[in-house]
Amino acid sequence: MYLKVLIKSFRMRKTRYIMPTLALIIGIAMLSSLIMVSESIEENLERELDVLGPNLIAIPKTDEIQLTVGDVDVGQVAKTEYIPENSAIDVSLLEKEVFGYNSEGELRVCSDPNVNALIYEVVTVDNDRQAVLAGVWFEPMEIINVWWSIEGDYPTDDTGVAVGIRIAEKWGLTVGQTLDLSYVDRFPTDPSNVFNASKSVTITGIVSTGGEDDSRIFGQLDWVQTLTDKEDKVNILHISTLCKTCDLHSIQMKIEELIPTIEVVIVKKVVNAQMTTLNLVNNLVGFISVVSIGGSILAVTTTMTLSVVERKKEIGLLRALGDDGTRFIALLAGEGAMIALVGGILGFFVGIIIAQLIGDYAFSSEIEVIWWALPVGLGAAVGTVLVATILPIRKAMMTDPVNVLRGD
Amino acid sequence: MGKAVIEIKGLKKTFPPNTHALNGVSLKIKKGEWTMIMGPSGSGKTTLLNIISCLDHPTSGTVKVVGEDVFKLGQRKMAQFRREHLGMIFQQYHLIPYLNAQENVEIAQYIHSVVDKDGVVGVLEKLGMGDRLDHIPAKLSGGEQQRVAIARAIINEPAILLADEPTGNLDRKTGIKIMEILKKLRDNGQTIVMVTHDANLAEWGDRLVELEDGKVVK
Repeated sequence: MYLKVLIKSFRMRKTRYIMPTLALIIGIAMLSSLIMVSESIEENLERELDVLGPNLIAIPKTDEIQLTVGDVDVGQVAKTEYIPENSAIDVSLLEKEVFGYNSEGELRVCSDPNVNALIYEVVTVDNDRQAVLAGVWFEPMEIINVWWSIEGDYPTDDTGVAVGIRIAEKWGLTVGQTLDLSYVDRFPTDPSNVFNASKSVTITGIVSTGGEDDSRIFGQLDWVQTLTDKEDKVNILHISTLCKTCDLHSIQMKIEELIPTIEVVIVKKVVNAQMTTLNLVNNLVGFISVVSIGGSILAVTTTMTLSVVERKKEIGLLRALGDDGTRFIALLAGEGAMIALVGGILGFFVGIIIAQLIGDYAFSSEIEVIWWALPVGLGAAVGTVLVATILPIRKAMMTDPVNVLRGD
Repeated sequence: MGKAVIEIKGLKKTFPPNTHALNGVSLKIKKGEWTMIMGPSGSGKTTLLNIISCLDHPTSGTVKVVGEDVFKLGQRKMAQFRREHLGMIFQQYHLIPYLNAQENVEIAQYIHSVVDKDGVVGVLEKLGMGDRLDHIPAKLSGGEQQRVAIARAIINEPAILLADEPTGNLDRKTGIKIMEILKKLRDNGQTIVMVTHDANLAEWGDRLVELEDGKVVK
């Protein structure tokens, strides 16, 4: 009987319930679409903010040579001070110990850190020109510096180099051309025994970086170390991680604590960009959701209150027949539940469409459907309707059957 | 006639600021009796019926219905008492507009936590509504609506049937038919308390109680 009355009552008022249901659909659509967009943005940020390069730089503690990453001044490196190459591996392995915690020691989720170890030395090219030769790990370098573009390929063995576009244009270098690189230790500890070495390499690619690196030559770290007599030594570590909830300062301190010979610098521009974007997204999600759900509460409250006013005689009759109020409340709650169910489910699917539109328009990428947003949306819809029916139920309970059943 | 099913002593009802709708009414109504309450407009007859039906509270006095001092009951117990012992018929029928005739009777069973569809159909058939079960109130005449309301009032076999001007909205011929239905119920032992202002209808009852200015005058 309850379902029969509920369905008939709902059917009779279906036009009246269209507006609050639509309001709820919009509210839940906003909430679920923004959950999906927010999640995707955070994932995209991991990828796209990598374009901005490393967000941490590790350098030896006593630095003297000016170094930059892109336009960011990261400090100075002493000629004679190096970081042991093992430190780079140590940092890569520090994920759980360092990157998984915030400053309060609480476990947080961070992306796996990408670490690149680099060494810079001046070499002579083809006996008459000088350039900075950078020894790098190409795999993490490609991940950290995804905005770099290359004509050709990065070298895959110790016979190739990638050349910065600026010196390639200046010296007329092309892919496939051979270069003779020679190194002489300019600051030998024993002047009577000066280290020197040379190597022939082939240009595998011309790299465009948009910064100082356009004037450098890049080779694999191990042979560059051998050529320059700097086995197991690097000048600098580039570390890139996206930590959603922990602060980079705590990561910085933990790395310095674990590897006392290095100093970790936060590349503020990158960090600020990450944090500002994330905060903007989170605030946007919160604001639009609150406004939408608030609007839905108003719409449902108004309609339910009108419904109670319209049904005063029905309430009075049920009271006269012996209802203590619970059956009418159950009826009203049932109607609210139907609105919540329709609004929650439709809102979720409309949210998928909105999320895809936002994805296409703002990120030019497909937004992943987050299925856990469905129970969240349904829960929010039920919560919204619950809050919205408090006042109408109070009004219904205060209905005086004598007044409403009177003949006038 | 049996023992008293309604005992009213010193009943007063005052509406703010100072309107004495009932002013010391004492009354006993016996089981199986058809009591007519009559009086001019404003005499307090509907107020008396509302208090007997536990929809309104007295200012003072006691009302015992089937031996229960009803105004000593809490709200929930009073609602339970109403659905177990009282049936009500209104001048304006008060049927639920989106339910058909059968469902309008079933709603009383639903509130009473009973389901007996055959019983509902049987009662409606006895009242001559067997071919109108699926009709919503808007498709029924006034007399038919009142018959559905009577079926709703008696479906749970209440001890007392309370009727407030049940023929007030009907033409004379239809009114007589409703009175005949009530008479049959009375003949089957149903206690009925009916409010009317029509002296001709009042003659159908076993007993006439006349109210004037909130007092029983006859």
